[in-house]
Amino acid sequence: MTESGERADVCIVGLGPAGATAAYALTAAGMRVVALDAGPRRNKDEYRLDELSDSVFERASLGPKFNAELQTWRRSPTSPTQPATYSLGKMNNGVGGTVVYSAWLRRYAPGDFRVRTDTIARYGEEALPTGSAVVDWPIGYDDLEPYYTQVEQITGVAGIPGNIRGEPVAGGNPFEGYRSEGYPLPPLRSAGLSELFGDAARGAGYHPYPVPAGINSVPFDGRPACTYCGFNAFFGCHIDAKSTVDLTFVPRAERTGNLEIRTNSRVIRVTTGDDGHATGVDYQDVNGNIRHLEASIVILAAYTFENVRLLLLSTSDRFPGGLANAHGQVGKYFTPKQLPRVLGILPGRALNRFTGPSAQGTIMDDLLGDNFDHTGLGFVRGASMGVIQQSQPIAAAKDTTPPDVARWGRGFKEHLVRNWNSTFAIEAQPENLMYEDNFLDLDPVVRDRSGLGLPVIRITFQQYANELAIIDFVRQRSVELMRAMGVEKTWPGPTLTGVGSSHDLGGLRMGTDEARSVVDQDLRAHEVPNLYVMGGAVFPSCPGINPTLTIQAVALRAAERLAQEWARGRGL
Amino acid sequence: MSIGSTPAADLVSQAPAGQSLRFFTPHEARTVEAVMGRIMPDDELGPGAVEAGTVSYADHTLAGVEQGNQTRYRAGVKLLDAACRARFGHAFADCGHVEQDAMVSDMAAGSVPPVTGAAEDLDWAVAFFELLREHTLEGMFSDPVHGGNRDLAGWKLLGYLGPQPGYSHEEQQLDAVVVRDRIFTAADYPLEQAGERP
Repeated sequence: MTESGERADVCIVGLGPAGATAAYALTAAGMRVVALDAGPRRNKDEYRLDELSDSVFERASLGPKFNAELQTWRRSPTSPTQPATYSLGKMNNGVGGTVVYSAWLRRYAPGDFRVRTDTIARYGEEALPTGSAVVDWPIGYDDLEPYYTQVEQITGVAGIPGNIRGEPVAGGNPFEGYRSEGYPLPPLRSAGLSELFGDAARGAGYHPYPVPAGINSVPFDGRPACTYCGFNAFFGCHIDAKSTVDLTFVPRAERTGNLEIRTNSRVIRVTTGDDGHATGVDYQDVNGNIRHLEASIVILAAYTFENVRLLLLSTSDRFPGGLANAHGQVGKYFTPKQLPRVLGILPGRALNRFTGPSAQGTIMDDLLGDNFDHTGLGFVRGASMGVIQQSQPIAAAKDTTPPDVARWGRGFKEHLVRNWNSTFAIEAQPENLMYEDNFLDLDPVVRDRSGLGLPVIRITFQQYANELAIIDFVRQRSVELMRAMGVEKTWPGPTLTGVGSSHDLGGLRMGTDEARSVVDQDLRAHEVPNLYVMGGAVFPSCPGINPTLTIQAVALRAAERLAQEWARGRGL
Repeated sequence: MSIGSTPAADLVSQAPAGQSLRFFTPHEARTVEAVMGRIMPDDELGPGAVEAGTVSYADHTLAGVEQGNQTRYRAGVKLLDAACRARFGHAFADCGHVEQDAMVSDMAAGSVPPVTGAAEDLDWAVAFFELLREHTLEGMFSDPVHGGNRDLAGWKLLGYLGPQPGYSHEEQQLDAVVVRDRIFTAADYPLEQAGERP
């Protein structure tokens, strides 16, 4: 019971993009929502333009919970367990979720929801790699299109649309699905490097377009336009020009009067009754006391790792293997994304990549998904790729050095001084198929340092031949494009960029088959009728596209359907 | 000069002016500074790690947010000295640049012969080099609030202007020259307090 004996209609665990977007729809429908977030509520004045403490942000105040419970990793069940590694960085806790995100808000393409069907139709069943677990989503692009549009309009996404109601738009992405509305804001500026890449890409027959960004290209929603200071990814925005959900969906939900936010409140388990329904959650409050919140509906909307962990920790007589895990599906079909790059130098040229946000760039989807013929290539699916702004000195100094340059001493220093403002990368986001043997479970040994001593998540993950072939293929295309841009010397970054990527998807797959998934197409747990899961954990696949916009669209659709059911008096 | 006979006062005087050590012993500070000076040397292109005070950054960091790395430094300096004594007859900080470069090169390459006490961890040299390199670069190029980048030496070396409030479209074009009155630091934010808006 809560101290006042109150009972929430809905308890949302985690007020990031998934939870905040759901809260918006549920409170608008009159449901009383209590949101518990493990972190605080921050504001722009707390964000410093300090590369060290914010970018390597586990050092600042942004991620104490996440850092106290870092995941472990093994390549396979017979490999040794070691600390996980991270590419784009670790997640934040707090209202707004990972407010240091890069704000690339791209839609998945229609084909991303039916990879199994389309791949078999075009290349035959034998094209699916051995050991892979490729499925279609239980919902399609048509189901999500209205919700994509709503999220884009409320957020204020800046970009050039490629397809408005079936009509192609010049300068946009020709591979995107139809959209019922264009973007609410014009694209961010085009920087010189973007122009150079765009020319090379068009020259090679590709279709470059500006990154759709959740950053104000012009003033919007009472917030100012971006000043192109160069502190976007890994930083909170110090003027609120970046559209994070603490500035967009949360205030709208609060204005209904139906949202109560409890910060620094860390949920430790979902409680269930004798009838197998969820009864609420136990959580540790800001003072360290364990409290219970009773709720008619529980929505887990934490990050992938924590959503999986909470279900596995919520054991009971009725659910001895963890909640909603009767079929052993919790943690299965998980993958992080790898972020391979090819670096190059434009000798003597000033690129000025220390200006502008990381969402200011030009990308192309010509080699993504099934947008090109894979016949004879030996792999399926692909990657998006492009160039971006935002380079700061520590990151530049720590970046992969060319093979002919030492990593220390006079040669290294000379390389840095001469080339740091002439170096860039073509960055790729490859799709990563799901595999039977890539999964999450609880580490049997390692406990968190939260004071509660709960098991941490153990990641079992390795790269397989299909994904290695995609990376090799896009590296070759990247080198070709860089040559066309005037680059003489190129070199690759790492192939395994990190086991945690901030695009860590799956683990609580949505599907119609109860034996092969955890939640249904409305994100309701198959086994617990008043328990929902939102966030990247429910994704059946991991396309080469940033997931946040789709996380929000899927959550918005599910929340709207939940609210409709509630209104019909389902009497949960 | 042998370590035992070095007056502590001399070593302290080599530490950044006005700053006392928070974690390192004077000998550790001198050793770490010497390694960092080889990773990022002072040369005709500009100041290096010694001049930028990266050892102060490491000292601040190890006494603060990276306390978990204290034992790696404490053990690392001992192992490094042992390896240097075995090869050159004296501790790292007392080696000349040629000897120091040879040792750093072996550390980076993982080819330092095993030394007493390191039998259970043959990778100590590579791991210690990587940690030293990371702290050298962070100490060179981080905001001065963290104890390094003295006199903004690291940023000036690169021509970096610090966290400026913003840039124009023209300044984002290739080969555009970006000029500012001064270098900004994190202490300039939030801008409202400084009376400046982007």
